[in-house]
Amino acid sequence: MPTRLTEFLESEPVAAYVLLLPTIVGLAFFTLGPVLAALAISFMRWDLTSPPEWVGLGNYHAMLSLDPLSRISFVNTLYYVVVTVPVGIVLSLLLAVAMNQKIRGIVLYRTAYFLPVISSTVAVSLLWEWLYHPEYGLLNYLLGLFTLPPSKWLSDPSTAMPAIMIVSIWRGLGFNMVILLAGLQGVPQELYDAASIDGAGVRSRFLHVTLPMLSPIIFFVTVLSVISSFQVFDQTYVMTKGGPLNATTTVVFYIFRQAFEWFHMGYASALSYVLFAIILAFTLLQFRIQRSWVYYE
Amino acid sequence: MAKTWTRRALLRFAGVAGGAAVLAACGATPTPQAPSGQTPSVVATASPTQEPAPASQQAVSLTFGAWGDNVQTDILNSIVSAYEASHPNVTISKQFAPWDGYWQKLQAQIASNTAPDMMMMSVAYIGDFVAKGVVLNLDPFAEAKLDLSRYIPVDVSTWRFEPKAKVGGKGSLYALPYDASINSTLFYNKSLFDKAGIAYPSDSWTWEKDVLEAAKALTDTTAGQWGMIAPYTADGTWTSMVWEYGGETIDPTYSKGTLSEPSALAALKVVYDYIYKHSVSAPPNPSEMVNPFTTGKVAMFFSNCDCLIGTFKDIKGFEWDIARWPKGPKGRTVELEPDGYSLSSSTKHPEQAFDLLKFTVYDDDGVLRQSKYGTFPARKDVGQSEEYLKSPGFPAGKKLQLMDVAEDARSNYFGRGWMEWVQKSDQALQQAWLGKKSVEEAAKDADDAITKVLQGLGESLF
Repeated sequence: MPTRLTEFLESEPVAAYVLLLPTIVGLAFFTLGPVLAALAISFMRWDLTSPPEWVGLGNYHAMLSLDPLSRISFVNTLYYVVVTVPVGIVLSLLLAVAMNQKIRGIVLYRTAYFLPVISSTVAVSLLWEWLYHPEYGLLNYLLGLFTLPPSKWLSDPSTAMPAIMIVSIWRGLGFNMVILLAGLQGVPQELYDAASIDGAGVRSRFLHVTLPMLSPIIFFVTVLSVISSFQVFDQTYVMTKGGPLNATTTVVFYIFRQAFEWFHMGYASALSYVLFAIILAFTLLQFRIQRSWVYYE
Repeated sequence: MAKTWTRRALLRFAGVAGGAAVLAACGATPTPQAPSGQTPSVVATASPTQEPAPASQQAVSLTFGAWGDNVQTDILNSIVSAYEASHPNVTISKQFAPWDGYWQKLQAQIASNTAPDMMMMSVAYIGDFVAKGVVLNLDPFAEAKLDLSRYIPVDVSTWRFEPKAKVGGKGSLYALPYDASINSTLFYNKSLFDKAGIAYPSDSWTWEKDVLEAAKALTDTTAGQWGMIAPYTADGTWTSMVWEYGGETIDPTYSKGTLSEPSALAALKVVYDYIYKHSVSAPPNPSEMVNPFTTGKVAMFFSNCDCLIGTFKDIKGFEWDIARWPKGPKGRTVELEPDGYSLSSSTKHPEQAFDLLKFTVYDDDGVLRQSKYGTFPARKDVGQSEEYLKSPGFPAGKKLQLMDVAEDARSNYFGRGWMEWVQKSDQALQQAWLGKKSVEEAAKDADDAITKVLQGLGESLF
């Protein structure tokens, strides 16, 4: 005999909340909790084993005016983002257009470009470290074959960051390519037909049909790329350990070093929050200006 | 009519059951993880009605934390098995990790009060750990049970700290060494020396005369061959050169860097000149993956670790050996860096843990096993024994290190903030090694970095 209790327990809203509970508990304890804790820690000086000490805005002040390395890390990261995001997206777009053909073996090509995405960043970084070796690496060997001068790649402060950018772009191409490809295949053929009837050539069709129709997806991919490239860490940790001469010290790498090598937990938390604020600002900015270039039907 | 399980009903049931399970798990006390040595656990074979085993036979569970490469881990595994075999009431839970991850894990364990009973300890961090009170004072045990004269003296004094001291050297003992790694080691490529007809490095070699002459004769850029890899690595190489020129990295009050002083600077200039004035050194490569010495294209390698003997054992294609560290104007000094073991100050079994410690670093069995690694043993008698010197894979020159060790061996100001000032000063000096700044400027930057760390110990925000 159904009682009021069982009726309540078996009702849809209750079932919904109960099914959501595991995820909510996980998010609360393992994501939201630490995020709030980090905010509190950013106002303290703490090395994990001694009692924490309140310093108010001291960490933030130190970051802005006392520590030159924090400024260097933000500048390096900005440099990285400003280059890898546009270059990566433009290349992925071209790749997606290229992959959007019905030729034989196209699936193999798509898979080949996607493989670096699913490979571990550490494995990829180690591989590229070998390719970049100034004396025994393949890249300098290839340059030599074309009688070009060898580069010091990761060993020189001016070439180290571009070297890392190359690895990141190469690695991220497949991911954006797949998403853009899906978008491309959603563009109705009638629009292309109508455009060619009106006399549009290949370039015109691309600029006036493909791009506008793809713009929501490009927006999505850009937002994601900006967020993830601000957080670059694996390559800088594995390939150069932030060097040489701090040329590849990115913010997340610096946070790692401050927190886990020098045990300045408060300072590292403060750095994380400033990074968060910057990423948030960039994201909000992108959402703001989407009205001017993203075309929604 | 039979009530069948509709899909909707099944989902709701799963949801309720899952939710209940989550709530139950949250509410229950967490079950203990792998034995952490926090509470003695009686061996489970006893049935509930039997009396508990007598205290001396009571089963004890210890945790043993360590870092190491494959060779080291094999040695540690054999030590643990040997100990467990001779002490059947003790079970040891091993927590081995690579160097990088070990310290982060250890810090987290200390913070959560689950530090291993016996933990491998590095002089890089001992100062900080003593200051935080997380390692056990070993004086009571050492005085009662050990004869510390068995060890190389500086190998033991490095682990002594007075209360609130910035640097070690005297006071209470907080760890025992298992090796006396020599951080100033000259490896040389015998085949290259033979081909060029140059005499091997000898006892009387000095930096500015003999080393330079040999390096010049052995450098052939057309063949991609270098006379040396200059001693620019941090901790050991230029450090001991600074001593040999009468300088110091840090002042006697341990509060500022002194690399800009003329005598220290003179030593650093020698290194710089090898690279840029005489061009006898392979170009410094900060992200070097493979040691160029192993390719057979480098005649002399000034290493900051004799532990590389283990790596070089597999070298084929040329003969190599170790020579005595070259002399400076003030003589010869090598840097000695012990690795050792500490006990956690929160261990529940100090007596048993000390027994394990003694087995590993003091008794013959443990010491002999560890000596197979390649680094110089902490116990003098083992280091001098034929068995050690004739270990397979050891170069003939290994015994020359005995003399280096016996004479002026010093340790590198191990104390609080060590890792930080060494890393920062190394980064500063790299500006010189990479040719971006002059030695004077780089040394000044290094001094500033060192001074900042030493004066901000425990107080600094970053």
